[in-house]
Amino acid sequence: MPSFKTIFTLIFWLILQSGKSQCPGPSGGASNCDPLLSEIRMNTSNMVDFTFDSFSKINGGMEFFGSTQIKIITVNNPALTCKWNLIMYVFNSGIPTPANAFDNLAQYGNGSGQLPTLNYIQVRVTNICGTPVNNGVWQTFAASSGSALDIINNIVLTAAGNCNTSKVNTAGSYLTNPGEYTFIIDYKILPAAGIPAFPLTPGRYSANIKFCLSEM
Amino acid sequence: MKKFILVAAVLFVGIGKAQLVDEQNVTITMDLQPILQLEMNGSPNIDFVFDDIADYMGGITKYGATQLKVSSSISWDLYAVGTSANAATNFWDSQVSYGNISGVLDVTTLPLEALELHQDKANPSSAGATAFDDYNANFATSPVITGANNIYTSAAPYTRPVAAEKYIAGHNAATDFVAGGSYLLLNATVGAGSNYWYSIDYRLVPGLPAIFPNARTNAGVARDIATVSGAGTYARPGVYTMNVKYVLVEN
Repeated sequence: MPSFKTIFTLIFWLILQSGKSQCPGPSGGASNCDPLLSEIRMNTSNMVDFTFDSFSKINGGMEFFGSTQIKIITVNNPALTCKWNLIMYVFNSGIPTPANAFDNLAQYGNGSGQLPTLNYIQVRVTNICGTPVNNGVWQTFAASSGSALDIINNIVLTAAGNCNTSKVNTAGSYLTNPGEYTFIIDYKILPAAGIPAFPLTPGRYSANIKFCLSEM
Repeated sequence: MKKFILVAAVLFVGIGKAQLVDEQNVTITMDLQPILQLEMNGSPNIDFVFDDIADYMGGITKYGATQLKVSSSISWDLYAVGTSANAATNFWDSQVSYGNISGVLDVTTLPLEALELHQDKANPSSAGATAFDDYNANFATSPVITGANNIYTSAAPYTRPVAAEKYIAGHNAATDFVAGGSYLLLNATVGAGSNYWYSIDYRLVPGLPAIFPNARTNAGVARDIATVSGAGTYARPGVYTMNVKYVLVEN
């Protein structure tokens, strides 16, 4: 029989773990996906560093292709059918950073100008079978911390295996269907944004992008 | 004890029913470095050779000898400053002297202000200037007593000129600047017509006697050799050098 202390510690740890994710929660319905065996994997760097150190880069922007690879495994709970969605969110660290802006880590120069807003980040999601919403299209986040872009958000249960741009969202794995359970993300920032005068304050900035896998 | 086991069991069951949520994170960092880029086309050595009397009288003008092109991500000012090893006294550096050197009336104290500049378009932002704000005035027939084209000189070339001195673009006041941009960008005045591109002419007029009669401060105070070194003095023949710096600075 475990001691009272062991049980209490276990309960506390489990509660802590269950509250760890900042991704918006799932729909709250039945648990059809196995949360222990299902997961989102990322074996690429968790840092994408845009260093604008020449006029050409500031004027022309910078792109990073395939900087993030997301791989999905989803498993049915016994006798149930798992249906999932995949959404990317952008966040800053909150107050005192304005809701629409990057976090300012350091300021260069005399500080005149504006903070860059989160809608400077452009992303493009693709995979082999073209399953993402807006596959291959550059998209921009709304200028607000917590704004989202759907990658897979299909209310119709769509099985894997056809590789025909269908929004696959059933149990499966990148190991067996890599073209439908793997997602490649490109990033682009255009500080000049096509205007003749550059409005941004030089400095070092950061923002957080979350890739959230959740059950529908 | 039984109650705690019961609570634990309930929580385990609850967690076991949890729906799938998993996440991965990427941090986007953006290092926006302030870019001030000044390109200069033209020889870095502007050579004036005075070897006949007409050159002494009329001076020598070098048209469009320097092209200045700016690309910047921040608001900026651009100024020219004349300096030398003798900058504290505002004289050219004497490298070699020619001929008979009496050392009485033939002096080597050539004022830096003897150099005159002309820029092809007016300073676009200089409301706070209290004297000539730029070098846009056309070269007038010598002698010129206004100081309209004489180069700004300083022993501290990286200290921005005050409101009473000349800039090429922008000025001393915080509100006088050219916004970040580039001569490369497509707009109504792209390229050489834009506020990001300046063509600079140079003129030196020794005069006869060779006192550089046009040398003036921006306020019009005479800086010719006869005024600075005494009546009857004149420039000793020889080789002289001075340094013109074009300084692009954040406003």
